[in-house]
Amino acid sequence: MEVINYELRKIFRYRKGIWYLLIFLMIKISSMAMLDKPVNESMFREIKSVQYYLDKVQGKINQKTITYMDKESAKIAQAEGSLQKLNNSYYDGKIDKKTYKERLKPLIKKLKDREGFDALFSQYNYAGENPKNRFLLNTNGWDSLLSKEHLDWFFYVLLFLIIAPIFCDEFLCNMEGIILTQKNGGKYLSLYKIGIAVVLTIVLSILNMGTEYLFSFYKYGLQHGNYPLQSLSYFADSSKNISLFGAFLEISFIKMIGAVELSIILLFSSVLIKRYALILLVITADIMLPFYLFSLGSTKYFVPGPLGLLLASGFLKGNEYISDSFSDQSRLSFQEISMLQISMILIITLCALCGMICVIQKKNANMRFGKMRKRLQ
Amino acid sequence: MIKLMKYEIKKHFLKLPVALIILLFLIINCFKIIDTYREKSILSDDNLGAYKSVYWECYKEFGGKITNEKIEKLMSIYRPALEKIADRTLSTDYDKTSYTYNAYSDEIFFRWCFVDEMKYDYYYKNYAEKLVSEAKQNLEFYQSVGNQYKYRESYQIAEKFVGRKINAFRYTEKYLYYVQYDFSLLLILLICIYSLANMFIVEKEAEMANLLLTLKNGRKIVAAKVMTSFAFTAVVCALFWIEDFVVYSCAFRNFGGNSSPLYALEIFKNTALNVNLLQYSVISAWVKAFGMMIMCMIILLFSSMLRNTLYSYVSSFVTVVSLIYLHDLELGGSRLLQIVNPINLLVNRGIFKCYKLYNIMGYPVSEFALSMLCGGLLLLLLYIGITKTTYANLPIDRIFRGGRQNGSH
Repeated sequence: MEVINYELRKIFRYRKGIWYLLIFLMIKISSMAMLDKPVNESMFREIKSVQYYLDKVQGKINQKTITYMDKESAKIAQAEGSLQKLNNSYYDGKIDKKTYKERLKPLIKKLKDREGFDALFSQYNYAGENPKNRFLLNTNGWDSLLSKEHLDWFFYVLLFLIIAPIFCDEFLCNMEGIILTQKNGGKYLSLYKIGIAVVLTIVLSILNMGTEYLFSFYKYGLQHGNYPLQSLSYFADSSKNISLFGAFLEISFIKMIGAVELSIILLFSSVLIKRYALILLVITADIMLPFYLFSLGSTKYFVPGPLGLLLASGFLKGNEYISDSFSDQSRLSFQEISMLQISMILIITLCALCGMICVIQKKNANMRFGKMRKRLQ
Repeated sequence: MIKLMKYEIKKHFLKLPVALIILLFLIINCFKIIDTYREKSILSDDNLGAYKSVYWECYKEFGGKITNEKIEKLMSIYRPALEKIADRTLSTDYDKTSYTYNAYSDEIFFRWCFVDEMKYDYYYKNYAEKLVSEAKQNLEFYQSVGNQYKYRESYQIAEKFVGRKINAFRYTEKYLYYVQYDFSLLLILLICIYSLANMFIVEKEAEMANLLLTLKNGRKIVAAKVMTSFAFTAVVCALFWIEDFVVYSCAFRNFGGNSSPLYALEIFKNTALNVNLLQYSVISAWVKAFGMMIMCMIILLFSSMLRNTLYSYVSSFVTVVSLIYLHDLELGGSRLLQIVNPINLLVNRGIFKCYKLYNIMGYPVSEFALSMLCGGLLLLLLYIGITKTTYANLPIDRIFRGGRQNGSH
């Protein structure tokens, strides 16, 4: 236990990890508050009227929903028509201002919720294409949480700052020789260090995903987590049977594995390379370059390295096509990753992690010391 | 000085990892360009690749100087195809008499590859003339009103756009994607961060930094390091940009189109530059190199400020990524923030795409001049910052100062 205590103290106090963590949280929250834009802007703007309609029709589309929506849209169309007529007759001088105003009032009241209805109606059209697994709901919250594929650099940098020095600092001040000769040094200490790194990474990524969850929850609201994932247009043609909340848990889990892989790679390369600049270059290039390199969106999920796992949302996405106007055919721009492929990727990743941990242990083994002790006995 | 630089080069850049990484990145860059070609080019196998030979045959006929005969001939092919498909009832089966597959594909093929571009080329003259005449009208108007700044602005616009026309139709697709290619910049930035992040830190880690400053040539060390970094960046940039140009030419199998004016590309319709595409590539590369120098100095500043490679790498990286994000955000009205951002010089087609003028003390100044000026100032500030941080807070410096003060009393 003492070792863990010392290591944690080293990480959080001596190397100012606690400050990095606080700064990270501050930057994360403020950047989300400033830069986050709702995916469906009109729905966000007209949330009150959307909610009014949603209260009546949310969930699976059934006959009742269809009749209600048709009725409402007919009502609005009719009101629009009467407004036009009223305006025409007013400008033609057929009615005076007073009657115009009197008749205008109820029409405006009817048309008040039109924009919100339009926003919901496009969602209704989308869900109507495949009513089995597309439900009606306010999508903004889940969209902001799940439907994005971006590099969370601040989080990766936090990991660099906290995890990279765990081994590297000792190489830098040439202490590894002394540590190897200690009773609790060598393999014993390195195992503790790996454990601390893994646990810290898990905690940090839970913290990271939790912040995002809370943010979406307070800004947009995350209701109806039990609705199917395909209700979001980003995952339109996905063949995975999973609820929205389940998808969030799965994505968070995959991201966590990705973060653990990133940490272990950091430790692994710091044991092998022993120099910060090269370690960081290898890892940033491994994350950054595949992200921009391929034109087919799904290729980057198969690149060896933590990138695919860190992005995660693509694992649940369905096929995506872009239309080619010349040949009248659509071209694949994202190929769905099957469950088998996902589990293969996870298994290979876990094997690679075990391999890397073994190498780290071997590099930290104090072989000569062990042999000498045996001979002495 | 030269000797110092030689030592610095040996110490920092003549190393196996640096060479390997540059080589690896050159290969990745090559791969990316070929991928871009495959995805975007009209003539790649993913698009109209099957009709490549038809394209080049037609190009032989219609390429070069635009004449009335050529236009008539092109339209005599295009119009019938358009008429045939007008009511969309024609069969979509293979048609023997067509150039490509059937009338539908013929129409798209000629429209995409020839008609639209030739139309743009032909009518650009009218567009430029209209702009000039409007500018001249404004000129007279503002003169009568007495608005000096607007008068000067209109004068400059008229001067830039007068006499513009596109004489010849050439295959410029290669340039269209070449001038919009930014991936190599990212690679160069990564290489720079890697090799410059520990420029000043190597000595600090070995506790040699103070010792170095007491030497006879120690005070020249900052200049030497900065110069070496510039030289290294310049070499890397040159390597990548030569590769970009050569690989683009090879991927598109075309070395021509160099003498077409820049405004032959539609995205540069409103450019202020009256140069041809090859000249533009060179100008753009110089501006990019200048931007890269500024990025270089930012990295060196972190290197001189911090005592650990980890921190200097991470700070440089975060700064670079944030600058790129800020540039991509296109912060609505605050264009000024973009001008100060050195990424604007790197991705410089934004500056050259249109002719924006700013009112600086009554004189219209182009965005390009303003960005370069800001860049120069930034460079100077960063240099001062690096010298200050390297020499300040060192005991040796205090002793020097103390000695001098004692002497003067």
